[in-house]
Amino acid sequence: MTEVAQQVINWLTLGGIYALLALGIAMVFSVLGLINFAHGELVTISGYSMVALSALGVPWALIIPLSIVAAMVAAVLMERVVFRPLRKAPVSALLLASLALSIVIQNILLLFVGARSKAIPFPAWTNSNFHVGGVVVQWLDVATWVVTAAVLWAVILFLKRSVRGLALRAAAEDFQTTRLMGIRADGVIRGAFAVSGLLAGVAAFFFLATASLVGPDSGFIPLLNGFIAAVIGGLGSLSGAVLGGFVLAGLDVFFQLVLPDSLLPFSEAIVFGFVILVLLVRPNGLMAARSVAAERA
Amino acid sequence: MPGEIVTILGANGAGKTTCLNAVMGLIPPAEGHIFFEGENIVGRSPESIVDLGIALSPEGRRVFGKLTVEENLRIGAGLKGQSHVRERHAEVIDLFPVLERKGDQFAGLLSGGEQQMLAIGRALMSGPRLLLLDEPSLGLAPIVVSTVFELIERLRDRGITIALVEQNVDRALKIANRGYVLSTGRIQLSGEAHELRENSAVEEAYLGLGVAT
Repeated sequence: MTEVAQQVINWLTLGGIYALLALGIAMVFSVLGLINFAHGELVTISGYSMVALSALGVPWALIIPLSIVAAMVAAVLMERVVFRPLRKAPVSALLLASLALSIVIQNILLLFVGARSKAIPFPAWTNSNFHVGGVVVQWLDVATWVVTAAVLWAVILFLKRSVRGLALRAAAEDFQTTRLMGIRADGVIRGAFAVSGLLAGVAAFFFLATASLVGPDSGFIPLLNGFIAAVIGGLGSLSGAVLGGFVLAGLDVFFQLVLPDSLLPFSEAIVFGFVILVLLVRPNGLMAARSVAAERA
Repeated sequence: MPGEIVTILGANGAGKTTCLNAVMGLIPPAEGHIFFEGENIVGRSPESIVDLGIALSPEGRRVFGKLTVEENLRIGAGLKGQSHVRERHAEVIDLFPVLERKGDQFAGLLSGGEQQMLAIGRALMSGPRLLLLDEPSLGLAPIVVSTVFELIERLRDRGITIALVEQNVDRALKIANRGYVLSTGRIQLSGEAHELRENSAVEEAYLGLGVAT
């Protein structure tokens, strides 16, 4: 019983982080038809800005919002510098550009900051815990749940209630017709990148806090999991991305729990194998969205 | 001319939709200029053309199926302010009371006729002086087609200039002041609507029989 409760806690925490990452990827995909393979680098950039800011003696109460802003600025810059000039190019060119961008950012960090991971001096509370019955609960877990729920709720409110959110949803459905409403394409796309940066910045704190390290390749695991979660949910479907995050985390935790010790090193392979099975049954993901790429004229 | 209905006719592939899309800035025209209120608008983005006072109700309606009727109307006003939205909204609801009754429904669940009204209503939300209608009667039941044509006349009576692309030649020429007949991207015939109605060449051009030039 305790073991199950413990795993449910892990599931919720991991699911929250995956959901944030997947939603950010899905947000950009739904508007632009682009899978931004440099999304993981937003997490990395957020991590390095934590290192830099804490070295400057900035308190964590400021580091957290500033590191999120750093990810947002990076995301908007990616759009402005790399993706906007390619707006009229085929989606595959955007895809390759995002991959190249990811490699460039990693190599810039390698060259100028170094290959060795930097320690992030996270505040002490992230490493403390309390007991409920026999279950150990990390304060970091609680923070992840509360913040993930709050951020997801805020994004939903933004999408449902604000005109800009409405424009994003309209653009996700039919980009060209949205422009016919007098809504500027540039603004909508910049908005999608800003939100995806915000989500990556929030996810970065919780993702990096577990290991308290950031290196040039820190973005790979978040990208991989966020991308797979978004695919499970149905690329382009925003609610699907959130669902996919929790499904992927559920698979992760479930296989950690049931696999014998000898198979544990292969748990990722088994999880991803299972994902392939899911996609064989539902090729368009759990909540299928129509293909944006085909519609993007 | 302000406040008139101009219809653009022609067979499939004659370039009617292309013509409207070029006006909206969705595609660049192969050559020539497009003037609106004395200004050449070629090269402007669709967004800025909407700001000038032109709106398009696109072919196939293209309502946002996953947004509610109300949200479709709201997005039609773009990022304009509250007072503009309220004013336009009242006007559109006055023209299409059904859109208020179904305000909370997903647009994708509306009937074809209702979707067409929504597409026109959405275009009106920007407050256009020139309204481009691309095949508003396409795929609608005959009785609904009549409603749509009556509506177009009511819009004209409110002072909105209308460019109407239609396959339904008879109906279009009945309500139009002037007409153009396109064939393979060129104007084959043009004139007052009542003249065109009596010209047998219109039918031939429409049927793709070719017009002696």
